Amino acid sequence: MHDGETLMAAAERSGYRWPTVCGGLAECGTCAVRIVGAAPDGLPPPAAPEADRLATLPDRKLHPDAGFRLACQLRPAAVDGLVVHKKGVRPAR
Amino acid sequence: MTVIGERTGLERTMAFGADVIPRERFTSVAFLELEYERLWGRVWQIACRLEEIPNPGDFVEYTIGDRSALVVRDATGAVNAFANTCPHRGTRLGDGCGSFRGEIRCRFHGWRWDLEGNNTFILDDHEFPPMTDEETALAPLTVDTWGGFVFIHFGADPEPLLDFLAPIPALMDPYRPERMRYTGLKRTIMPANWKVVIDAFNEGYHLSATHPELLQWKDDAALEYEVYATHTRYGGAGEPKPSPRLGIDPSEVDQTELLARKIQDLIDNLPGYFGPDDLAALGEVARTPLPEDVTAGDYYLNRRRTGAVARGLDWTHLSDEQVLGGDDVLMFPSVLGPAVAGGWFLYRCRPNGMDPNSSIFELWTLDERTVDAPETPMPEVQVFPDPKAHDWGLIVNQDVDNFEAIQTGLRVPGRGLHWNRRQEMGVRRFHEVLDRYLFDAPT
Repeated sequence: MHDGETLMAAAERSGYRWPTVCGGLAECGTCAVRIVGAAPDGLPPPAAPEADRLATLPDRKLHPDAGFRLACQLRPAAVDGLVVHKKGVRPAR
Repeated sequence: MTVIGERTGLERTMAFGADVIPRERFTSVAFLELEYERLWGRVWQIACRLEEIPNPGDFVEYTIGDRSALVVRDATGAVNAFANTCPHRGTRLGDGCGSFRGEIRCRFHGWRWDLEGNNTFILDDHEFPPMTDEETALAPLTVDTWGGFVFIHFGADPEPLLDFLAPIPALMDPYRPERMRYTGLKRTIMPANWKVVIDAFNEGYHLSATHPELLQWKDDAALEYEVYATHTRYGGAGEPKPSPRLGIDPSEVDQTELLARKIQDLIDNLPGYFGPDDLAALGEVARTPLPEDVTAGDYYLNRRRTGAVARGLDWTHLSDEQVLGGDDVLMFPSVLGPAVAGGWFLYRCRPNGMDPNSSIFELWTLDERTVDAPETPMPEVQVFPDPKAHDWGLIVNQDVDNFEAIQTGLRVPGRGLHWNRRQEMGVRRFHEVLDRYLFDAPT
């Protein structure tokens, strides 16, 4: 991952298609990932648009104890040990 | 050659045969005036439901622009409709809804009529020049019913209601709308032209941007669209399935989670879509892990069908698709919404006076009752002055939040608009049929 790059942008640069409807504007919530295990220290907290969208994310009802982030906003470059779960990530054609 | 749209002076606003759609249709007072004269004065329209006037003397006033109709249940149980104006000096006779005690009476000079509209009393009638019974009766309007809805027509010699409605009765009778009763009736003023609102609910193309969370279980790309002579339908895609726009492989789909998403979304975010009896059973389904090798669709279908049997409803004649996904139909011009086995979620929208930038909007939720269910009083009409201040449930809130932006954007002088040929075919059809009324377009 490059510095300052979002998770979704890094995946797209690496040749993957990441699920999104709004195209990375923190509006649709479609790109959300579930954090597997504990979130590593130093992970930057969500800023306003991401936090607002996460607050109403339907996934939270299904996994009330899990942590969620938006892949279009999350910039994890400087952090080691982050594992996320996401369905629908595919090699771009 | 037939010249269509002659004499109106508004030919430039036609959608019929146009590649780009003039914005004026949604913003112009002249267009609205033409609609009042050529559409609303000449089309069957839903005035109310029969359950709103259960007893002799009960009435509902239905208004559209300056026109006002009084829909009245008479002593024989029949439903009559009259122009809501006194033949003497013109006073409006009924206001909103209520009950006449045996006779209709004018507040101004006390003239009276029976519930069939015949005059029964004129004070000092010998002092009037000769008047016929027809002249002193309330002016009758054509009225008919289908599916528990009362339709009226303000014009002369309307086509038979069932001819106008075809094929809606054939499509929707299996859901037994005549056995449905209101669970809610909400009203507000929407800050958008009435056609903006109708159009917004008449396609699934807006799901991904306006309701992105639905794509987790709704295959919006699988929705099928049909247009008829006057009305439109879309539907299908009832099987819970993520939208292909998300790129999720079928093997990745957790069926329990998929079904829980669908049911929980509909329960939490579209209140009124399921009736109260459905709710309890479905809430439990959403919390139950599915048996192995059972798809969400099969499990849901089975639970809905057994739930109906337990409640005494006969759905044996309904197809799986009618139990799973249902039909979203537009009853031209002003009522549309999705029906699924057990109920109907309907929007009605019509113009608001002479303001092309606002409309009278209603949300009706209807729930199927058993054939022998006792009649219960209908719920109070809830009126909300500010549509954005009311919580309609997330899904309708998302639509409501769009309307002001759509209308203010439409008022910006700009180029013509564009419709998707497949997913917005119902929108185009609605406007073409409107042009049939307004401009004699040969649809």
